[in-house]
Amino acid sequence: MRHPRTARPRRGFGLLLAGLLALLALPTGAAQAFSASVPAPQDSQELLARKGGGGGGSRGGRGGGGGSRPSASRGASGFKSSGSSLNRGSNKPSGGWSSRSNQKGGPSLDARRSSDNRGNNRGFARSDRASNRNGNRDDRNGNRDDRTSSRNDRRDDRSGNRDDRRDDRGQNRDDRRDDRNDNRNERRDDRWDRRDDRWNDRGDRWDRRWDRWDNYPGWARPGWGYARPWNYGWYGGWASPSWGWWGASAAAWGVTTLATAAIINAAVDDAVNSHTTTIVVPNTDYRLLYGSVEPLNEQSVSFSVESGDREVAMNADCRQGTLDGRNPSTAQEAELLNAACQVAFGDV
Amino acid sequence: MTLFPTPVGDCLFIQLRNTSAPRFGLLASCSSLISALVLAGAWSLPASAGAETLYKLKTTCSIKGGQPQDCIVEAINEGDATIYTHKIGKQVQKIRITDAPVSMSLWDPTSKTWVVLNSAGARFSTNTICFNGRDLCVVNPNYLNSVREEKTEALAGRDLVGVKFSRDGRVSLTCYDEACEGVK
Repeated sequence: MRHPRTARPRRGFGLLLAGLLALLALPTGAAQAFSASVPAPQDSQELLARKGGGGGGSRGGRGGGGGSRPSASRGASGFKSSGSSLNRGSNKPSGGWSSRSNQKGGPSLDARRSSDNRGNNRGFARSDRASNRNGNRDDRNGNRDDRTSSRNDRRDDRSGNRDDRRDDRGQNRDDRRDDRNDNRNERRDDRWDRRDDRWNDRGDRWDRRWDRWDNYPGWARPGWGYARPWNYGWYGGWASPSWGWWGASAAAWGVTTLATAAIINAAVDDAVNSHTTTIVVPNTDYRLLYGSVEPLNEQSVSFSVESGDREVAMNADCRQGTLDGRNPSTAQEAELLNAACQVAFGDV
Repeated sequence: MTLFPTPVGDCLFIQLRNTSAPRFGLLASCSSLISALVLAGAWSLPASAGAETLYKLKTTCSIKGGQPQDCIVEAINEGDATIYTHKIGKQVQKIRITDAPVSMSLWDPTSKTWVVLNSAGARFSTNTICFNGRDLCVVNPNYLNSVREEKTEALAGRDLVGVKFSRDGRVSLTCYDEACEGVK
């Protein structure tokens, strides 16, 4: 019974110390458990998908993910989206339910091919480049302002000396120069304002595209060819299109073939991997919003396409080879028809 | 890439299923006919009141990493859960999934209970969802299309998603893509 109390604090301290050590050791163990070998970003190899990855940079660079998203007034916890990313899967997707699946090779959790990862890396690399670009631009702007300030200081010094030597003529000249400087500064400010406006407009467009990609149907994702829920449709498998008008028109246009299924499929793969809403239709200036493609029946499809700054909704009859009920009038229109039909009904 | 075929995960799954093994032992030893009848009965169980069939999907499944087999998936909403019945040849496997919180369990026809899963994984590029490592894998674009549209932000740019469940059925870990390679 000698001083039992003296031992207790030590034991308590020992437990406390052990607990502290355990806490300190936890992140290391956790880091080992979750260590992932993230491959280094690879150079982007643009295929046909429109360059849209800058949207990521834009969102980051424009302060909080763009103005088109509602921002919470409360502080962000960072854990809002930390729950499971799987769920019941019972909400009917916008493309509807499929009754048949023709996935090649059967079920597999293995990556389909290495290009999938390349696509993901490409997306990250592009975002990084966009961020760096914005950062570099800001740096350049800062340097330019510094140079302008230094130049103005030196000029003011020279002006002062000159005014001392030539008081009789200097005043009028200074006034005229000040006027010129003011005008020049105003013009420069106007140019900066206009450029800022253009950047903002571009950022808004990127945000709209990003939001649109988010709202694309569930099938517009990696594996889109087998995720298309309609599982029917007539298309292709030809060396040259069997449309009645094709031979004569193709001869008149000086073309012999249209873009292959492989090219169009690869373009969609690339766009899906980089979260881009459009593919450039091969050999045209059209940009097909592939996620808007939706069958109307077994041979017709509706879709939207961008041409310049315009977006147009169209229908195509893949069997008859018509766009909005008429024969294509240019090779570009034929390519558009071919691309929309391939996305809707083509083999993958 | 291998997701969750870990000795720990598989062992847990086996243990969970074997909790009813003693009771099933005699029954199983009677004849495979009884088993077939039980399984057939499970498939033809009438849907409970208020059940809503979402879809029937002709697709392919694989069991324990085996060869792909034709199978039929029937998705039925029952109350706060969705039941996915997989008919693979003469086998029937039912998976019950709930939201809020997310939970997944497998129907044990012998004990007539839902047994909590260890893990699930989904690969979007192959339209595949697997349960308990690779004990049951299914090509089900319907499920993945629905999930993709409901979890837009979390899944943007993701291809592989893995979930592990604790013994009480709650999600204990979610991983994506490369990070799933480090999950054991």
